[in-house]
Amino acid sequence: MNTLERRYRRVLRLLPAPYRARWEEEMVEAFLASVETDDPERAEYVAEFGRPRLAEVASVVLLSVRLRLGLAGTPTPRSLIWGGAFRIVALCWLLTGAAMATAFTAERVRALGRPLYDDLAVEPPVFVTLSAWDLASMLWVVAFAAALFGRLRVARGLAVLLVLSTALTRIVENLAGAPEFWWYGGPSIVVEVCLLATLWTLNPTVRPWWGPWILAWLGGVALMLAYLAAPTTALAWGIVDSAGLYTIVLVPAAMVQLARPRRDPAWSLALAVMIGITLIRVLGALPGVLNIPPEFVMAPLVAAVVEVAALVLAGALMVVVSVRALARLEPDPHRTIAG
Amino acid sequence: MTQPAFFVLTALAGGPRHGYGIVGEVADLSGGRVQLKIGTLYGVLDRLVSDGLVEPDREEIRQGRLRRYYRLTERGGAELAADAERQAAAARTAVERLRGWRPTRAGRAPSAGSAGVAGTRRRSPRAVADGGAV
Repeated sequence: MNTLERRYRRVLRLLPAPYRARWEEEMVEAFLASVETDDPERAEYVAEFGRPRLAEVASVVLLSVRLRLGLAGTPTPRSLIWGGAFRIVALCWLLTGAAMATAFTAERVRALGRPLYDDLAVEPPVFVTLSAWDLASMLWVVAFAAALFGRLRVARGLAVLLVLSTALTRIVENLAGAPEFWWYGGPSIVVEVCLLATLWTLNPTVRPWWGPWILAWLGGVALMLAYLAAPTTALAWGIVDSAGLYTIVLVPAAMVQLARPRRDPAWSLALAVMIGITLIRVLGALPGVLNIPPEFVMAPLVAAVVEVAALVLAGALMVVVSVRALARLEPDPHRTIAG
Repeated sequence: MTQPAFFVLTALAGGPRHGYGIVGEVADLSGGRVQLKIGTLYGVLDRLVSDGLVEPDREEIRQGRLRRYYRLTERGGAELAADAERQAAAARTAVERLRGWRPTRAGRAPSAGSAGVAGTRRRSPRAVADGGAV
């Protein structure tokens, strides 16, 4: 075995073991055939000093991810669970965006023409208007509906547009701003881009039953409207921010999942992932909480600590339940081409 | 059917081929546009084999390494034919449409007949119905 072959086999270790057992030898043969040359001197050099090209390595990395999510190759029970979990995360993310956009726009339309600051004497008075951004945010609803009804290109295209435009706007606005932005804004942008990537786990052949998702969207809109109707002072000091809202939804959802006699492992895993993401958001917002004037800091700080504790507990329970469910699965059969 | 799967089946419609043989054939068939990486090829091949569209043909040992050939199954041929027919029908439609199409230059000044009274531009009933600008 020459150095190039050893290096390529090392890359192939990224693939799931059952898949490797079946395809490794053929992949190695095909790869080595692809770098063959008629020049013996060059062939010797490549064999001893060559490395798999980045594009080849990337194709194996991508295949590894796709196999684990059931998007390539023959789906296994394990890949179906992982793939199902990421599809749930993707739909929940779009659902959240759609519910927030609907509630914000509805609230704006309701308050159209009224003074923006009820309790502040601002001269000249500022009135509530409907901006192009408000209307553009309704594209979240279109993206959510498109994903629900199998129009994945539309859903992905709109989501890319929404995430990139928001991220770029925030970056440009904060380029000359306070460096603290990068502490909490940076992770938040990275999380959004990662969530965007989950849309590529959606599969046109696996269409979700749209009824419960539409109900969940309506529930989300109701929750957001209740949140927007809460006293201004409670919202202004971040006692319940958006991460707090996610906590209010996710922690009880995890408890319901725990209490169910027949749990869908994909949902346990999806909840574990979403709780982890929310934990990152809460921790990312902590520097902002600590900057609040001392006389007001206690309530939001207590809220943040309670959120972190609840998320860690619920997240740990979901991780345990998911790991147990995955461990209970039959090991993938060692498949051969003959059998 | 994905584009790589379509090209792999098309390559095998020409006769049994091994992994790297498929890569080369797909590059030729697509005029160099589709350059399958080994990771991509075996993701596609695994799915095609498990769906019964492709099956192993024969094996040979070359320079001490296993080289396995694959061939198209009857079902694979039927799927490929159906997909090729769909694509051909879409291409025919596009060609027919293009026969009657002439490029219009953007921003072309309206002709005298299209200008409205006192310099305003009149909207045709069709444009209004379409909700578009004239």
